[in-house]
Amino acid sequence: MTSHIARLYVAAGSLLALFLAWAGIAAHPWKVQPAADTTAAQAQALATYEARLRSDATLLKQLGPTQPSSAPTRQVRIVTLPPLTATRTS
Amino acid sequence: MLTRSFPAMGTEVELFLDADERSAGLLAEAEAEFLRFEALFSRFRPDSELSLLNAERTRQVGPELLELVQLALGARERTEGRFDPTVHDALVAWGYDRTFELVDASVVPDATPAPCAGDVEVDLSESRISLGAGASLDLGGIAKGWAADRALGRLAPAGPALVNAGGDVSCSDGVWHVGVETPAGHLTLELTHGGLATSGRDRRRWQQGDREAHHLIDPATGAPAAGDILTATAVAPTATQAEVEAKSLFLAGDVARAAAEADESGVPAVLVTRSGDVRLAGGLG
Repeated sequence: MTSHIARLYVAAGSLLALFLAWAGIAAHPWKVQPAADTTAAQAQALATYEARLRSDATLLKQLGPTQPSSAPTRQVRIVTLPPLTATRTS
Repeated sequence: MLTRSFPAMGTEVELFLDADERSAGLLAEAEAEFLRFEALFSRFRPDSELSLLNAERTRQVGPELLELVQLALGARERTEGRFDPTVHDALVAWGYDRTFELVDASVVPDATPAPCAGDVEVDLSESRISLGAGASLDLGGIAKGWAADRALGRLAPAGPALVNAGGDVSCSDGVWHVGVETPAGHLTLELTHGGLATSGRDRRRWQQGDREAHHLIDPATGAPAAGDILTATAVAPTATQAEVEAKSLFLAGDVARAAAEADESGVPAVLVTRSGDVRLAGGLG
């Protein structure tokens, strides 16, 4: 009885090993992607990115100088406080 | 706060300096500077450099007069002739031929409109100014603002400062509350830097017969400017510029036009009409 079960395990293990070997061979792990294809794809991506940067730069130039992150200090405003000094017709 | 006031250039000058006592000497230096400029630019002093130039018609001048005349001519060009330093003869014709305190209303002047827009040539290579036929200079419309800016330049390194030359205000970084006269009392403007000036016909005016004369000559007519504006106050990067802007707005003639111009050019302005209305323009208010 025990040797019968052992034989079953051996058979199942052999089938599993065979399956894994077949899957590994079917995946063609030794086949390398041609380098030229990779370079061409990267070059295409870089060209697209560069074109987008140029387009953005042109748009920024059309918009004018970059505005400061905070508004400049306002030079004058009306307040309801007594004046230190007064202007009058010169 | 260090303060000092003194008479100069036909008005009262006030100095404010937010610094400790060690800087008090700067106030005396600024006062001396004002008095030196008065001696150079007064048309009522026969020995002033300006009077000598008006008399001699062509003259080598010092750097201050050269700079001020250049600024005045630049302002004439920019304001398309509304501001004009060659109103001297018109002012004299209308009786303003001596310091204002001495203007004698009983002396009826020859009020024939005098020509303005006279030729003035500046030769920088020789520091020489030459006046065309019939052109004499009056720098009263710009000299006080310019002097205020120069005085501020002496005070500002010691701390926040303000110079008020009879209404021509120049101030450096700080918070300054400056009152503008209106019929309802002072309107207080909070200035952080730059210049402010008021031009108007509420002072320096006199009666000639049944006509009222004042010191703001319209170069287009050679006569005291007409219109419904009593005073025009303008804010600008410097007191020199503010003085020119205020005169240009006053000479716009009517308050609606002056307000439109202030709005268009972005010059904060307070306009008071002869009927007592107050109009804010140029983004103020």
